[in-house]
Amino acid sequence: MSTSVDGADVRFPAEAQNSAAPPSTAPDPADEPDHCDKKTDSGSLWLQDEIARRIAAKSSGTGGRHARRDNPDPSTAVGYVPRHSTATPDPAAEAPAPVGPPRPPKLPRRGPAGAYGDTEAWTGPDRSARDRPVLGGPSLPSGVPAKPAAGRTGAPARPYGAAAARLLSAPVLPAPPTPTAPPVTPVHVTQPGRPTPPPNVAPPPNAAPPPNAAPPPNAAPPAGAWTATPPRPFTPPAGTPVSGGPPRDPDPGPLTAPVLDGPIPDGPVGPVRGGPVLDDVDDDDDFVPDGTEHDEILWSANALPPPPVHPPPPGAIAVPEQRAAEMPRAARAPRTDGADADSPKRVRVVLAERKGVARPVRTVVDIQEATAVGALLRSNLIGTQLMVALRFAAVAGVTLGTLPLLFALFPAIGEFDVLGLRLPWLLLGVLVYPFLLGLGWWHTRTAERVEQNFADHVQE
Amino acid sequence: MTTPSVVALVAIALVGVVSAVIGSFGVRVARSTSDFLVASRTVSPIANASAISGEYLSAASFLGIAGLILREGADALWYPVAFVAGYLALLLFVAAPLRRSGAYTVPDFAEARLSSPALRRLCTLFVLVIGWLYLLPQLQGAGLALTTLTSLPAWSGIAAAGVVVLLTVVGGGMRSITFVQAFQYWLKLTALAVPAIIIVGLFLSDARTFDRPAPPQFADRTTVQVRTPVLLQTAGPVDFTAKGTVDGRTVDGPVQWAPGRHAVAAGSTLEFEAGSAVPTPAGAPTTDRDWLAPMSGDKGDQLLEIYSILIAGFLGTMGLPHVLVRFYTNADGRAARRTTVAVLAMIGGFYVLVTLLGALSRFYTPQLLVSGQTDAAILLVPTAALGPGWGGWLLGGLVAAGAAAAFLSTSSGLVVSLAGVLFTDVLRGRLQDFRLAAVLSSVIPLALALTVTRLDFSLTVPLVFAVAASTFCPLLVLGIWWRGLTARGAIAGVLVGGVLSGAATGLSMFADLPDDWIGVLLYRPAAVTVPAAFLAMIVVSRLTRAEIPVDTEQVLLRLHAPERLGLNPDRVGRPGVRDVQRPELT
Repeated sequence: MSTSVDGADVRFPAEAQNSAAPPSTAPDPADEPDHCDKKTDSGSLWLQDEIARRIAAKSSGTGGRHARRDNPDPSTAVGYVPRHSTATPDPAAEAPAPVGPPRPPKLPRRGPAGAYGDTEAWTGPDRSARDRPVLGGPSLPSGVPAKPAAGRTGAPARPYGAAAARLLSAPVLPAPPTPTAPPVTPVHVTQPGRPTPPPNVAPPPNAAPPPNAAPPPNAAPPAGAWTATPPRPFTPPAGTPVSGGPPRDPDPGPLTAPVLDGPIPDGPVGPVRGGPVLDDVDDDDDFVPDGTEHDEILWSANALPPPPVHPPPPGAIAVPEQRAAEMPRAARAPRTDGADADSPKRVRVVLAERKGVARPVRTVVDIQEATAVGALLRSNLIGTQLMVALRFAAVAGVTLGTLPLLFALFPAIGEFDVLGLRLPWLLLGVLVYPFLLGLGWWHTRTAERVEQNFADHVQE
Repeated sequence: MTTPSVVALVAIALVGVVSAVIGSFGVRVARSTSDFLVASRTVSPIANASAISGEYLSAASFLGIAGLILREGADALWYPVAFVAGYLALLLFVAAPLRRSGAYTVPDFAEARLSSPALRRLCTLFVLVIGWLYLLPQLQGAGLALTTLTSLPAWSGIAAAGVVVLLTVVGGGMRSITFVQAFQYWLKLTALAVPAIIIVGLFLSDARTFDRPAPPQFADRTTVQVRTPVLLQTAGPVDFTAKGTVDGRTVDGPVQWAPGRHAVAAGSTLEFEAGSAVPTPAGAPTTDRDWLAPMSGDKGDQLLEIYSILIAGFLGTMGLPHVLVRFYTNADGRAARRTTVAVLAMIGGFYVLVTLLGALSRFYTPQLLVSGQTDAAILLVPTAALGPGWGGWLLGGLVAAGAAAAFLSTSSGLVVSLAGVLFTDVLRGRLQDFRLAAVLSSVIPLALALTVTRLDFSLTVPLVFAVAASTFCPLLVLGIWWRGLTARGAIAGVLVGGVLSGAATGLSMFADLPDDWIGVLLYRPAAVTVPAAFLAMIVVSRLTRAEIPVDTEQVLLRLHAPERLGLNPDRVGRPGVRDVQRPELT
């Protein structure tokens, strides 16, 4: 998920808005908002703490950081919260647990990540913002408040990101580190080859993108994000030294670092599950793939190539999370990249939810699509139900419809006494109601059985 | 004011107060627009069925059916049968799919199914027409009840009913309405069951029987006030004292009528001795034996009329706006079906009691046949059967409370559904607008009710059912079951059925109809207009088959697939249904 998020971010801006809103977002939003708010709240607290720490800790980086903090916190919190909420909330819930433990290890890495982050300042902020919501929840519990705050600050940086990033490369770096950290770990673990590519890709982005990106915030962010990812791998060496400097980096770094440790083992598993959750809409198809992808993604996360392509859309950084939910398939590749840092955490959270949703959808999709089988099933269901309804209507209609005719043709019927009542009065005043009730009850049973059979058939 | 009047007034006031209290409890629960309009779909099938029954059993059912039976006898039994059978049709063809469509009103459904704004507007128009047409007799019924029970002017009853309905709706919205109406159903059932049991006991202990070849008799010396012009007929010579205009002559003294038809002008007072034969309305069975047998009136084309009533009731119920909206408060399609089955049982039991009391009223309140106010039969039976005294007065008060519940529940249900349509289609807004819509949707029929002469329930209600059956029934049934329906076909069908039945309604209400089959078809138009609407819809749809919506298959699947597949619009984002229609305050 997280990976996809990052990758998605780049693409997302454009696509996310279009597709994101309609699909799954609508149903679940209600729940998400709350989460978001909570996260936001925690985030703000963290941010404040971080700011204070940073100010105290460093002077050089501080300025840049300060700038980010101010801007990011307000802007990100307000503007992004909703968007993130969709994707982030869920992940956040689950993510916390995993995040907490990993963080400690991450801290050291953060430093490095942060170093890299400088070039990637853009992505850093974005990712951090996105991740932070999710991570923030967890991180707080874990007891690494400062980090989450940093992440958030990074997110805010985005807007100013371009300018701020340039000026405050160090601060910028921190944000990216978070994402980078995960990638880094993957690199160490499995993806020697992959990491390399990312770096390659990354370098160019870093060099060129940062400046370029800076001017146009929207465009820059995506580019930065991508570049950031690649840089991260590279940066680690440089980043390590840097890490000490920027407290904020620590935040992202810690997050990522844990991810790395955790991710490698858990990452694959978690991502898969998480991936599906996010993809609510398309869950069916993507589930398995996502899982696999996620695993791969973690490593390939650095596969910057795809991200670079997408950078243009990056405008909306927050998108990543949403993307995950909305654009699972398309964004997957990118996601993996972006996910590096975030994916592990988010993935875990998502996993639980998706499981529930996915199953029904798959079967349903077959029916819904214009396949011969689907058409047959549909017309079979509707035809059967129509025949059932018509049969019952015919019984009622014929029974009630022939009575007036009988009464008119054979007036003697009206003379019969049954149970002390004239036959017409007994029939029309009393017996017709149990008759209609019985028909209705019988029809309900029949119709429910038809539906039951249909559902069983479809879900087999 | 007499004691029974005071008792009845107190009983009616109690109903209003209790309804308001229950409604105000609902207000505390109603926090969102969803609560307000559809009770957040959290109403259980039994509660919902009680509410549907309470809403459906209008003053026309509570008072009108008994009056019809008093006058027409066995032939009037077809009316309640048709009204109950309407719920069977609703169950068979509409209930579950409509619930799954997520549509709140017919316009919602039309748009979800065919995506045609023009069709939506047309449906909105007919929802308002049907709702207002149906509100009219309800409000006037309140006036009749108040006049009958207390001799207060009719306008006071109409105005009071309007105000109480408005307060209930504006105050609580749909959720409180649900509880209020559930309460009102059980109140109505009680108000019929208790008198029915007591009066049946009296009747059985009496030696009288309906099976005799003579008209009903006045049990005591009876004075009849004729408030509207009536045309009566007698089987044998009738002697009475009259003051006013009889058979076109001004009379003040004894009069003897020969067998045949006689006209009495409004404002006349007729006084009959105990034991004299009761003149009956022209066209209705004269003797008790005829009254007891089916197909016994001397009106022509009775078979056509009965079939027309059956068609209107069977197919018209599903088109009533306040009935449809109720199904949206069910949890899912399955609950919608079960709710409908429960409704069949509830209204079936109710109509058995109404039939019983209506038949007994032929014994105890025959003077209503002379005055033409047969719709008041149920209100007067308890006091007439038990005689003056607290027993009769209290029983009369209970029945008065039931009658008040009847027109309050139906009226408030209608106002809620009309306001829902106005609110979503015309005014477009939030909660304040819903209240404004409620005011608008009740003020117009209120003004009509105060200015138009009251007509028998037996005339107006079947007309409303006929309009509903000619417009929304084809749209719903074909929309749910037929892939080939197009927006233009639907518009054509609704227009054909609506214009034909609307014209017939207008003529029936404001013109003198010929006494042949044409007249029958004009005031019982369903037998012609419903097939015409179906035909127009099918033919035009076939002609425009290129315009069949591309998403027809998906929409139909959602209507019919069980919820567990997760296809229904509550879970799947669906462009066809505009959730904007039902904004949620979050």
